Amino acid sequence: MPKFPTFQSMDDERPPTKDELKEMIAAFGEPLQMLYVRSRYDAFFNERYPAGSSIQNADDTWLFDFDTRMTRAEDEELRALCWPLATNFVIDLLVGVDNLVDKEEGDLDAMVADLLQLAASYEGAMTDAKLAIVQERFERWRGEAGAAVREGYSDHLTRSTQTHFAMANALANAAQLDSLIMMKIRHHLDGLVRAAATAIDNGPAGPKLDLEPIIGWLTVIGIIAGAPGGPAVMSTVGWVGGTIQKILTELPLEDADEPRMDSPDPDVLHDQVLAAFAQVAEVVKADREKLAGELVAAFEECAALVASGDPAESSRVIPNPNGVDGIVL
Amino acid sequence: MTGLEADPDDLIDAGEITLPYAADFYDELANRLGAIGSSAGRGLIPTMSDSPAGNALGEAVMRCHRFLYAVTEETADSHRAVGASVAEAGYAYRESDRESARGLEMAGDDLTGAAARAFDKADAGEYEYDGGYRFGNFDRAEGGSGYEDALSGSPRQPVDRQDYAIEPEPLFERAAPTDRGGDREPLDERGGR
Repeated sequence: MPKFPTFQSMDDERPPTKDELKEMIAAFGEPLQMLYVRSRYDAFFNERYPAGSSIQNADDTWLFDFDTRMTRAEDEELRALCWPLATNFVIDLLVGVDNLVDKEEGDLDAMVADLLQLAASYEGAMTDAKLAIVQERFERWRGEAGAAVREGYSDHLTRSTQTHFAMANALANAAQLDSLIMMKIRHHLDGLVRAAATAIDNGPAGPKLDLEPIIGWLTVIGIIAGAPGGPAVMSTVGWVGGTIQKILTELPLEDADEPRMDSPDPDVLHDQVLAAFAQVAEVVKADREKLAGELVAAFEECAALVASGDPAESSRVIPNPNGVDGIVL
Repeated sequence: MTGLEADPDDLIDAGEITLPYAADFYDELANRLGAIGSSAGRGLIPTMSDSPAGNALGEAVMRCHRFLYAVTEETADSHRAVGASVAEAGYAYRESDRESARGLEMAGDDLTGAAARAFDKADAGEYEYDGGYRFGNFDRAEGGSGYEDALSGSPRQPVDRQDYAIEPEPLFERAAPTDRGGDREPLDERGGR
């Protein structure tokens, strides 16, 4: 069951920011430490008291949330053993978040807005840069020279402005997608962190974190453009939403792949969480590589025209009656 | 203009005014594109150089961004170069027009003769070839000046130029938009002719 039925609902419900995610994780320290204490206690106790102990240390509820049968000093020693373990666990989570949420969405969004504006300027070149006048003048130019300049240059002015427009839009779309991927990652990490919290709460130490788990968070990665229409921000010119929708709907995780994060044993849980991070990274990496491939393929068409050596071809991208040399992707 | 390959003024205007303007326009776009790239900051290039999820899309954006930048710059250069050579062609056409017009010039004697014939006619009182207003022979103008009304009645204000039988001078065959932008009236760039 996906968390979001449509793209819009995902966009409306913004995921926690990177800092909010880290705050959630920072709260894991105490309960994790307790989880480690419980998991280490038996071994530690058996080592110190192979024959059993008669100590009833009723006072250490302030230190641990259960009574131990060791001395206070030994309690402290056990805690000192577990504290770095819990801290490492938390640090691993924080680093995982830092690694995955490594781009500024705001910067990307600003770039998208700028590129869309720029695309509009490219599109308006025929009127704004008065190229239409040039074209019309050259229409009236009879004779061979006129024919040559039309064939190699002025007949392609409209088409080249359209090509520029499409390229700028493709860049805007790509930046937009990169930003959406960041949002998707944060949604995903939100689910991951909550699942980890739930696992910790379900451990013998009992519920402490009380983060509401998200059902079906793992399918979020596949849902982004599940609904028709897709992201409204995308420009429909250039390298477009069709690709995007296909790509984003193609990536639902199989149930079998769903990382399990339910172990009450902190060591196992640690491995499970790291595996979940690795899986997110892997899915996102494939996602990005595929999108990057599509974007480059769209630009390679233009680059091929430019490199064709025939002015009638290259002028579709760069209007120049002498052809273009040395512009490569 | 009939008989010529192109109106030299069209080409000179396009080459010296319009195309350089277009080139500047594209240069400006290239500047904007460059600024977008350099201010994209951590959107394009994350702080962690080795993110486990990679930055394939961001790198592709940078690569394509660079290509579009080169294309824009090259387009600007191309417009500028075409402008220069088209203006040159315009001057060449103008020069050859003058060359060919030279043969059509009236010789001094011919001119004298033609003028003399016109004066003969004028001496004989034949002004019919004239529309009526230009040489002041208002009394013979038909429906033109209202000279007689002016003599007999109250002063009469002409309501429009047709009262003088003056045809508005036709504008040159020029496209409605102007070379220099904005909504201004076409500049009379050929006033000297």
